Amino acid sequence: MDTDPAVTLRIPAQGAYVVLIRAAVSAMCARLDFTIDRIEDIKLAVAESAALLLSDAPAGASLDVRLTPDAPDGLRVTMACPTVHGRTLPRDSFTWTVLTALVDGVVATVTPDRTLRIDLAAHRSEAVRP
Amino acid sequence: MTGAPAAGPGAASPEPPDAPATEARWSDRDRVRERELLALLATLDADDPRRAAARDEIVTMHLPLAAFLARRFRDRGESLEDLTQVATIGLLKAVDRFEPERGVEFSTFATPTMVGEIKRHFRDKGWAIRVPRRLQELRIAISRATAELGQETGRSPTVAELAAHLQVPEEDILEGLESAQAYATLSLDAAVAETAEEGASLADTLGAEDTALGEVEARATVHPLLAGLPARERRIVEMRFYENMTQSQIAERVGVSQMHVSRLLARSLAQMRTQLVADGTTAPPE
Repeated sequence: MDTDPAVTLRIPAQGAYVVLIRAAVSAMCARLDFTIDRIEDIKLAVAESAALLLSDAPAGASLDVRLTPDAPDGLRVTMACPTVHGRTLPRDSFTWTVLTALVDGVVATVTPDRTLRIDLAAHRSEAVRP
Repeated sequence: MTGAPAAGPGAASPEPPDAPATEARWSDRDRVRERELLALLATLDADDPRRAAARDEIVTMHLPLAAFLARRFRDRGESLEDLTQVATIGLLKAVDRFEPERGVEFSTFATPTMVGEIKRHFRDKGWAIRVPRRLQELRIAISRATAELGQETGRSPTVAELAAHLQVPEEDILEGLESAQAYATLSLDAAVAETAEEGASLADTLGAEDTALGEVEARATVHPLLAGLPARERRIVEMRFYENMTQSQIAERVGVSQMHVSRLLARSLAQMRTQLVADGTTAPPE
């Protein structure tokens, strides 16, 4: 299954909907045979990213999430949301420390229209051979 | 066997059948040792390496009391294991907050702290009301299976492995894992309702104000946030984010389940976020 399709999800930029992202991430990770430890870490990273994005989202905004299986054993999670101030995620922030500890790669970018985008890359690090 | 709360020849007083056996079994020697330790703790600096040992010893001495108090709350939809852990967290808090010069017995001081921690646990989570019994049982089964499979393979299991082991569909495992996180999700999305206007969740409140992420989140502010966490949570956050231990490794080190570690991490992060907002330069709206 090295060409699994990507999954996209668009939710209202409100805390109550973050649970939908968590559920989707969980199911996708299970499909890719990630271990429980990895799944919980990725969910935590996603929740942390969502909290950051929602903290500066204008009223009525949507949060876009894209889950892309990354052959042979990875998952990329891209979350993007319009922001009021167009700030990026500082590398000396606690959120950055948290994200980089939880997943293998973190990239934060701000587009000219002030959309903050957070890219998380995670791998199935522990040896699992189904 | 100094300090062990075992029944000595002098401890002849009969125990009431349903009382915490701890105090009744204590010898004078234990009481003396307890006072010594508490007095020592009161004099040591917060970062003194001797603190941990003294703290551990006091906590160990009072574990039966924590277990007793936890048992009083069983059959309310929480596992006794989890409740005992929560009571122990209360015990740790009590050790840290105790002031010997006030002349109160430590157990007298610690009991309401532990009961308070258990009650807060139920209140914060709304666990008994919100999560159906089937999911609670599933969560406990998953927790157990995670530990068992981890022992066999030396790594945490996959969802497929858990499903095969417990002979349930993978979807049930996902549901069970999510229900374990209901704690953290609730604390983030619902806990603020008491203070904020009705229906406004924490994330909404966050969205409505300028949190000045760039400055407020600077590294220097992380330390006070960490310091605001209970000792055990702080330690778990440090192990995960600064020492890069896995949740399973932390679980083993701390002596709780991996699911509990996951929950404590999520809750701690949520609490630190709340604290960030509370400490922010801008006041919440209204």
